[in-house]
Amino acid sequence: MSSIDGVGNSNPIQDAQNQSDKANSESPSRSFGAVLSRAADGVLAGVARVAPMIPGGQLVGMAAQGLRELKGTAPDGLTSGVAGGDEQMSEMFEMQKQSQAFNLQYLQLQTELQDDNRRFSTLTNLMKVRHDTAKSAINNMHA
Amino acid sequence: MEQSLDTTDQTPAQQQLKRAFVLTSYGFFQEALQSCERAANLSDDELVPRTIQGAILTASGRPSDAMKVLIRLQREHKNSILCSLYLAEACFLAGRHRRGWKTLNSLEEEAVAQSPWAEFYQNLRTAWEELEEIEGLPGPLRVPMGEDDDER
Repeated sequence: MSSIDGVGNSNPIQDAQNQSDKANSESPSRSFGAVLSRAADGVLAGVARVAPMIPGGQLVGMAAQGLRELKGTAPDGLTSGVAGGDEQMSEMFEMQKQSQAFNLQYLQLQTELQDDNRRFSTLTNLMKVRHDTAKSAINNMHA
Repeated sequence: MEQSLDTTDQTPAQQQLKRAFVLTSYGFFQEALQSCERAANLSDDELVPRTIQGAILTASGRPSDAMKVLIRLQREHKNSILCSLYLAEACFLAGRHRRGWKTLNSLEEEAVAQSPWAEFYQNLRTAWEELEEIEGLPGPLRVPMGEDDDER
């Protein structure tokens, strides 16, 4: 236990937990992807620190460190935790929402137009028949 | 229209009513109403001239006046289908829907079906059944109807 304490003068698992908690609490408006990314980053850091203390853990530590580096150097679009990628995802979801809303509005408009068209034809028929009726009544009028 | 201008074999009352019909088509409602008045005076039976007068009053945006004329006429000619149909229409346009439906429902369907006015009856029913569902006329057809209406 003392050797573990000696590595970084702190408990790395606790660190990872703290980072994860911090990520959850500091910005509630952040997306789930960003929070998850930060938590994963913390866990990987913890594993990298603890691994050398475990027999045969050197390899695990290198792997964890490698994963962290890989995550850090990945293109923006592939990592949700990176600010740019997160923004793009948010924008995409926002655009999808807007698109759905516009589609719904368009459908409503189409339905209203169809109803209006139907009413206009009904009234046109009525006016025509009304006109013909008056004409017929006059023509068939008896002296 | 050719038929309307052909004045042979027509009574003077008929000529006046045809004149009223043409004047109404061009929006000269006052002159059309005067022609109806003349036709009613020239004819022995004022049923058709007064019915057409009621129809012209409705067309000119005065359904309340049309109702007065047609109700009086209906009392004298209880079996006149045409008078009842124009009265029902005036009632609907004056916002008196219950009265309009009462007038339409009081007609015997068989008698209406055998009369020349069956199509008018059917169209009137269909149109007002549809319009009642949407609480009135489509926007572009809404016009001020009351005499005291400032927008008129």
